Amino acid sequence: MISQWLSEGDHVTWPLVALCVFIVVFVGMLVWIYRPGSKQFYEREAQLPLEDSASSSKGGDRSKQEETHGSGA
Amino acid sequence: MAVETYRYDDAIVRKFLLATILWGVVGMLVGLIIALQLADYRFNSGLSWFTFSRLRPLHTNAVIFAFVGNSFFAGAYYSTQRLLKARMFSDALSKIHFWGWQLIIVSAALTLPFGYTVSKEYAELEWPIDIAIAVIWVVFAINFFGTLFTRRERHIYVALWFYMASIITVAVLHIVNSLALPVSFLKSYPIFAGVQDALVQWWYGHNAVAFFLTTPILGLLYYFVPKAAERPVYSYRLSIVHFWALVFLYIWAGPHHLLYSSLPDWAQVLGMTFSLMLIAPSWGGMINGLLTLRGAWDRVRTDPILKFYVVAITFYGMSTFEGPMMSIRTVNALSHFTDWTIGHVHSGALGWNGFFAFGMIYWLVPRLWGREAMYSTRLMNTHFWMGTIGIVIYMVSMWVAGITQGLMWRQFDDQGFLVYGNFMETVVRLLPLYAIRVVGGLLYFIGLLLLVYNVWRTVAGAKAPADQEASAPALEGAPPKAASWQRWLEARPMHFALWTLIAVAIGGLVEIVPMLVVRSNIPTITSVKPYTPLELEGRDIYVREGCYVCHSQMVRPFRAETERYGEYSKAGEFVYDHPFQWGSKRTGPDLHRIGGKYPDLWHYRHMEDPRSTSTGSIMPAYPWLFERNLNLSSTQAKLKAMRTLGTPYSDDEVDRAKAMAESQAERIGQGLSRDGIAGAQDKEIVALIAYLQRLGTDIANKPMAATEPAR
Repeated sequence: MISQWLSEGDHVTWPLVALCVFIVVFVGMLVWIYRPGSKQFYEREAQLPLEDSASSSKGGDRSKQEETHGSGA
Repeated sequence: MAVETYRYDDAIVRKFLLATILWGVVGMLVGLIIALQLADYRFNSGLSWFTFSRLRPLHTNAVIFAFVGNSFFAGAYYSTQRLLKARMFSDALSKIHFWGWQLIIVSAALTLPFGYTVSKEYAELEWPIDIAIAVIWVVFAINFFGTLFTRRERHIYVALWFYMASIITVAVLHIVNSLALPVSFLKSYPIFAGVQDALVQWWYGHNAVAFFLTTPILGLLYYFVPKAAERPVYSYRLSIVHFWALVFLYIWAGPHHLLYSSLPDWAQVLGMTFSLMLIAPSWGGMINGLLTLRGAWDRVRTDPILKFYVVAITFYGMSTFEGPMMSIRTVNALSHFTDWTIGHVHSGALGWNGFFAFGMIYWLVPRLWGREAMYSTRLMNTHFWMGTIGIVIYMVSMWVAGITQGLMWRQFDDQGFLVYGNFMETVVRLLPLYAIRVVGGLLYFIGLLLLVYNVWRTVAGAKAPADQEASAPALEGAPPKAASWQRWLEARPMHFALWTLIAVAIGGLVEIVPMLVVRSNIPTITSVKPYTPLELEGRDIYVREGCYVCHSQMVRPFRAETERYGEYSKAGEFVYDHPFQWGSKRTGPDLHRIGGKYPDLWHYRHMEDPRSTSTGSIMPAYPWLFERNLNLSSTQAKLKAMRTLGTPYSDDEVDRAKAMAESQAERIGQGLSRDGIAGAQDKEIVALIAYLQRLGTDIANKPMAATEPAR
């Protein structure tokens, strides 16, 4: 059944469908990532590899920052 | 909030790191040997397992899965634990993963040179090893996701996203492409045939590059480059764009390996379009990596580790520019089947993967063995320069070789004849370039040996320190009500993994499903018939010897190719080809229309001594084909397997398979004996001759009831 349905379709539409799906997803993702106010959040994420010496005080700082950010958003 | 103390498992990282170095040396040494064999065929030496076509798959597998694979595992085990503030989920699983993977590599080294191969590039291993790979991969996945669940850090850093996507996608690719019907222990036929097999293979093949050589290493980059530069990644947001764009785009790009082939045009255009789009996220990633070093550029002058990273990232940018360019159909018409492709993959493998691994090794070794620094910074610098110059020599020689040969193949004189009608004229022209390539490879290899010496001097006498201790508060309760789905998603690894899988699956499904189910994609040609039992045996010998490594079976619809080889190849001609044998490189001429072109005696002489029939040929001789007796004990089982896969053999044919093969061999043997060659009919060579003489001949049997593929 599915093969019949696909056979009757016009194959030229496949790349177009693919392109549209991609553009919608991609633009949506961009809009989301660059939404206002996201910068602060992501800047803290970027510090993750640099704080793995794992002193507990740093961990404490992070959770505080998170709270402030959470209330800001 | 209770602070917990725990230890990272550093021993497993040390193991993977040493394995990386060991397999790097082995894989690149084999590469050097096969480069020599191309520069001078006498290096083939007449030993079956030492012949170019048997060693080349070993080289590619060793470098990809053993060298780069182990470097990924080393880096991933080191960074995952630290990013998640947790020890790996299970020490036992880590060990099983390590030893299982090394065992798979050893079994590859013990099967590929001896001709046990499926012949699908970068997926050559036979089915028992394929199953082992799947099992070990699942072990790795459980260990990785288990660590995610026991983590003490709420946020999942972008490097881990790359690891996750790689783990999931490689599993999907490997399983789908390895679907095969076993005939015996170490012999199987892929369930797909011809065009479909080609599409599945290159959907896999390209994504092996994407999800085994690129995304895992990008994950490492987002961890180890900030570490070495001691500053965060330039733009975390850009790294997220990089991630989603790559995951979504890469999976569609496979058909760019099949441009102008018998694959339907819609699939070709789809592959080309997505390949071109890939340039954007790739360059975004490259720029992000390089700008991470902003404010640290002065250190790049003095710190060889940063130098290795800078060159690695630059080569990532170069090869992700070159790749999309080569995916443009008209460029591909020139570059495909030539050494340009070889140059391209080596800029990725030597430049990006190799240099990244070296930088990471130099950074990790002192830390893991409790030393202040590497034994010698000078040796690191020497390694860096030898490697860089080696890559440049390698790439430039291959660019020149590829473009030269590509242009020679298509050159017509003013009478409308091919200027280089004899293929050998285009081969001998390349020999100096093949020699130059050896020099480039040798420099790179000596650089690697310097690394080995440097690591040995650093590690010698060092007592591996106890696992590093760390402490962090436990993760308590449910994640905070996140303000956004992205953050919600980031905090939930399984959901995240699922979405990645969906993004990847869409690409696979939209591209592959129509190809598998839509009949009109492969117009049938009624005159195309299944192989005879002897031809099937000959085909298996063709696969075993790795003929596809240097010979394509795909005449593209260009005048330059139809003049040289004959009628262009049509999708319907490959319906019984399990696996397809289109090849990806023409070190020798295309063979799709070789059937009937020369007498049997020519093939006999040619396999015995290629130079006797083709002056200037660099093909190795295959003397063992004349010594080994033709083994027909599993012919019947092979026909049965083929029938299960859909090849219309009758009961009678299956029952009499052996007798049919013997009588056909007898006929060929009699023909040869009339030419003065006795006793060939029970040797392997007759089966190979039978197969070669059949190739591409079916469409000549009129009437051609068929529709040509829509072009």
